[in-house]
Amino acid sequence: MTQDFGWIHLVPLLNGAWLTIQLCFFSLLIGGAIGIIVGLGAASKNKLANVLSSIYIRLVRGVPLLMIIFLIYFALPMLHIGINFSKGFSAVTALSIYAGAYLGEIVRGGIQSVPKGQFEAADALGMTTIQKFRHVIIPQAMKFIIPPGIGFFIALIKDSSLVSIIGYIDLTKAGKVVSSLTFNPIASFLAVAAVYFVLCFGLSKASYYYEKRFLRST
Amino acid sequence: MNLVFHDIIPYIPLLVSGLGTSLMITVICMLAGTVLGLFVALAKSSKITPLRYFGNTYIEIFRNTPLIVQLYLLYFGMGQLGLDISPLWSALIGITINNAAYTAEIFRAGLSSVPKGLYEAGSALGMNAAQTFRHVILPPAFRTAFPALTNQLVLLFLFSSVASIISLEELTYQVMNIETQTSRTLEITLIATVLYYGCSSIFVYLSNALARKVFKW
Amino acid sequence: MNIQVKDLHKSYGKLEVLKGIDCEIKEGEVVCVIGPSGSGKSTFLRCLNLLEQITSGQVLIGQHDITNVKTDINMVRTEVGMVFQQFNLFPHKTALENVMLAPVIVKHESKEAARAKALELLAKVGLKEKADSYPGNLSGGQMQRVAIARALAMNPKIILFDEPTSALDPELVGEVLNVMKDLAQEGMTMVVVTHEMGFAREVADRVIFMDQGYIIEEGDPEEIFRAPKNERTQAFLRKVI
Repeated sequence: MTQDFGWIHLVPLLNGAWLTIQLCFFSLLIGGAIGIIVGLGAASKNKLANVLSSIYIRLVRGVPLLMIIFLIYFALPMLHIGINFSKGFSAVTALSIYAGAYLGEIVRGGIQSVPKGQFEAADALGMTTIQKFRHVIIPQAMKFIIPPGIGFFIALIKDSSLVSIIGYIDLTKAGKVVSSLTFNPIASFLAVAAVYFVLCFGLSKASYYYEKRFLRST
Repeated sequence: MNLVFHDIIPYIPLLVSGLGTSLMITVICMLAGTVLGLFVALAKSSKITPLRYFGNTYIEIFRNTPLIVQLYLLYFGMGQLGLDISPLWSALIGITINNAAYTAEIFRAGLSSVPKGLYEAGSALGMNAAQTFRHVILPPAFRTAFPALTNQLVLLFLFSSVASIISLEELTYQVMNIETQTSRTLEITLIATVLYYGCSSIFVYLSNALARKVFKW
Repeated sequence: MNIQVKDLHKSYGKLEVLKGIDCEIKEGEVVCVIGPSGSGKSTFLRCLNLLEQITSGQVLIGQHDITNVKTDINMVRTEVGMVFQQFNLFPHKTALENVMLAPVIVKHESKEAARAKALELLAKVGLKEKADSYPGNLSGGQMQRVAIARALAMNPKIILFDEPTSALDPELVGEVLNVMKDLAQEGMTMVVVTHEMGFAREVADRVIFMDQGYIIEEGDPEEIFRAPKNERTQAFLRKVI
């Protein structure tokens, strides 16, 4: 039974959009935590931390997100390690691993953008490593981390559309469902695109004003 | 855990042809997207208001919606309009259009990094705008843009996997195909991961080598 | 080729930078323009080849009225060379290629002829052995000498110098001024905006002192430097000498 595309179909789309937002929010939190750890690791002088972090960042950034999603959702259960990942859990895990690598690279770049003299000044004042990062390096690095970090979050919203392929009902999958119900892919996917556009464009405009207001002045 | 790879051996030709298709669309879409992106960047920096408006809208629309949705629209949308478009053409056109929005922003950054003095030096020597752009402005702008273009090339290669959803028989499609036939899910996914990682590393290596050869200054 | 400037005005929005400049520069004359920063002297120079749009007034380069929109400015520019404070060499071209580029693409000279002339000009500015070096590997003084050779390659009738030594380390100023001195002796028409008072005094046929968008005083360098008439000129020279 086919239906004409109508306002009623915005309901599943907006439900999907809400799931997309939740998905990205949690992935950003977990991926952000991973990113800070591997970013600090990749910027550190500790050989082991440096090598491990760099491998993580390079490996994940060298593989399609789609492959990461497949690995987590299809391949990991084959190991019979006793965990059966739900679609939602797989989606968050895959996106977190993915985000961790890209955010890690941003954190590393941010820390290394702080002039060497700042590290030396902190050392010369007798600060411990933690004091040095807490009071001197991180506050300055934030200026180089926040703008590309927001940029990545916007990319993450778009990239999260790939979890639709394992059947997670995010915005894109909802669009696919509506499209097959209505036989109207143009209207369905234009509506989907419009919702993504509002999310991403809105976020990028908001971050633009935020940057202008809070970051340019320093 | 034991990995069994020998079941996959008969499918190696499929993997190779899938990888070939992935590499082909990457190269074509990168070249075409770079040329298109340059024009979009010029439009966005143009003094002519409608052109600037067009460039800006193009970039914002394609950078703020997912590639997968763009491909769905192109592939299924064309079908709805009664125009049959093959998965390959959908992928080539869709990814090129998408890629151009990103390369346009990269070029714009490159062009705005060229000091104003170089435009003046060209003008002062009697060059017209086209000559100045071609001989004086473009080469240094291209050099500034090059690392970001390399980055974009790798992203393009990785995201070309998305074309599998419109049944283009590229690497990811063949991986899913082989997975269905052999049920060696972990093994085939690992192989694909290695192939993708290897190729993106090779892209970075080649592009750095090219940069050393081309940018001697 | 001479330059005639009549009642030249230049504004950026509401800010008037040139407030009515009248002067004539004769063929073969070397004119140095001096004055405090913000006096409009660089803007004045840049109006002479229309790197700045002229707000009102008239500038004649030889027979060409460059304020007339029908004049092909690029054609005029092939006869008016310019040397910039920041050199503005093309970073992706060797010294030789920098000198050759415009003759080949603008004047359609053959590559062989352009190359031969470029080598000759590089030899003239003392940089023959640097022909294949990229600007990134040259010192400031060397870059500026390449820039002068690049301007000369077009066989200009006039060369405009916009503070050519201001971006140089002090020990490199001399090599550039020497090249300019040679050009002056060969009879090149030169307009030089400069802070090098020694050069102005020694080489210029005439010195123009500008302040706040006006020509305040002009004349023989000896007179200007020894006995400036206007008190603003006096104040300026007291500060810089």
